[in-house]
Amino acid sequence: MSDVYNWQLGRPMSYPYEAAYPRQQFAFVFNINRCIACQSCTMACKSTWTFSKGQEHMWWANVETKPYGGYPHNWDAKALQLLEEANPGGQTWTKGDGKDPGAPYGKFDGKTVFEAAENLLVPDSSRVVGYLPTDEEWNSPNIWEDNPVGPRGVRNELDKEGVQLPTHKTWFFYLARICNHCSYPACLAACPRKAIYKRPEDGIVLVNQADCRGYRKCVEACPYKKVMYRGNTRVSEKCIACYPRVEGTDPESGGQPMETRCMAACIGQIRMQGLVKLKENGAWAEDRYNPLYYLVHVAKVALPLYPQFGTQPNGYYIPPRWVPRPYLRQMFGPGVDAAIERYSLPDRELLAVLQLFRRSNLIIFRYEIKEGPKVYEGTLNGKAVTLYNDTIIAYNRDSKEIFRTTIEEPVHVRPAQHANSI
Amino acid sequence: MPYQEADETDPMLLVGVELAAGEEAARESANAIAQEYARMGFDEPRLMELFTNPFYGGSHQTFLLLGAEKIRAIVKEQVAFWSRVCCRDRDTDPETGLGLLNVLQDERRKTP
Repeated sequence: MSDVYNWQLGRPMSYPYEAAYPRQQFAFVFNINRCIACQSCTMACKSTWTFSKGQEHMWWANVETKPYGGYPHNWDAKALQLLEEANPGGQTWTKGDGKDPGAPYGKFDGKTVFEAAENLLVPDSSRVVGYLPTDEEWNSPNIWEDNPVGPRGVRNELDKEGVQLPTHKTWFFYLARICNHCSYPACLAACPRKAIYKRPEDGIVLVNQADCRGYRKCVEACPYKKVMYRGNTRVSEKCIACYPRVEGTDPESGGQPMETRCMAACIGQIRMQGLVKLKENGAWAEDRYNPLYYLVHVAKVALPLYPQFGTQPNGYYIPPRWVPRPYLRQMFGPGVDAAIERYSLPDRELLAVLQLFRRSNLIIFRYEIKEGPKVYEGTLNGKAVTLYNDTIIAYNRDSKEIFRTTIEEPVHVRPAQHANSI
Repeated sequence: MPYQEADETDPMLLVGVELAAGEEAARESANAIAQEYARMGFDEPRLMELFTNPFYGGSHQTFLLLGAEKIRAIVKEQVAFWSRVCCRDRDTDPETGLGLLNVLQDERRKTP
């Protein structure tokens, strides 16, 4: 074990390998407030990468209904339970003031999936605390969602008279997930054959299909359960971050780094993906006008998913604001309250950056805001707010303009003769 | 759905536990719904119908919990701000020039 620094936890932590960081890191932000679980991302991924025999159960990208849904079932509750058993009552945070860039959410005092393994009676080969989901847990990826069912034991038949569902005063939200291409991947740490590697050029984590022997240590170790075993090839597979697109080698990309299929397919416009620059110590290099840097490190509205696992995931979420805070704090860490406050009352720059989502499929490396006139003054959530019609301009890797958009958008009225045309 | 019968001793099983969601969650839900639909071009009357019509279970729950006055205040505020930051794309009726959705809603309002 070596000591590596995990800025999401605000402290050094144990990891089986020496720290090694890519030049750039694949990262993304999902705005959960806007996800409608249309599963366009899920199907875009499925139809691109996992449509073959032996991959029927694989959903590298999925959207699950929280708190009950999960793919595999209860993956997060089980991972949290394992950590709680390893460190009863100790999985807590010391909240910071948010000013230290090395500890923006404070300090995590508990144990990560790597540290918990040191204290447990597990085989030496198990460097990470985890579990292997059962076959049954991998099926029904939309379990507990709005799927109609008929009588038990009767296939392909729905209840003829319909069913009135009870009304619950409850809450839920949709959690879209792909591999987080973690900075300290648990799958990589667990692989006894070193078949998993993190690419130095973009930090994408891949399974070398030639070296993998299907031991499934990675499936067991990944706390997000985003590595999947393929029965007919007897090796494991995972999200490859659509790397030909990210590289700009996909024919459609025109040589420019392009966002992944799941991002491009998002009709709810909740997703933005990019490449962020890293310092030698693995922290994000200051890149003030990179939209991901702004959302994660300046506005701090986008937070990592279960940072306490310790893998330093590179997927960030704008938390759903209607969900009770204790649940959100467990899922996204102590930065939740400040993030929701800022998102609910967006300032001038945040409002402009949120307009960048899904205007283009090319990766945005930099943005620029040209100030516009004041167009509204009033209240939002009971607080004073002013709206300016600013213009935001997005630039690609070569600093060429990709698009520009304004805060006030034009009204498009579709003529009747083309009502249903695309 | 799962292939096996439900095991009621399984602590992970969904058994219809009601998760507490108080006034704060309802207010945030109402704000989020009003914001998203205002950004899609819904005006105040259309948005109010989302809350008053029991067919829309989630939003109607917040209406029942918070009351008409609070919901109307939320709707007014969100429409005033977010209707400017929106992507409006409606089908038009060839005769009236209005959005088809508006026409349908107007007709429904007339129906007793």
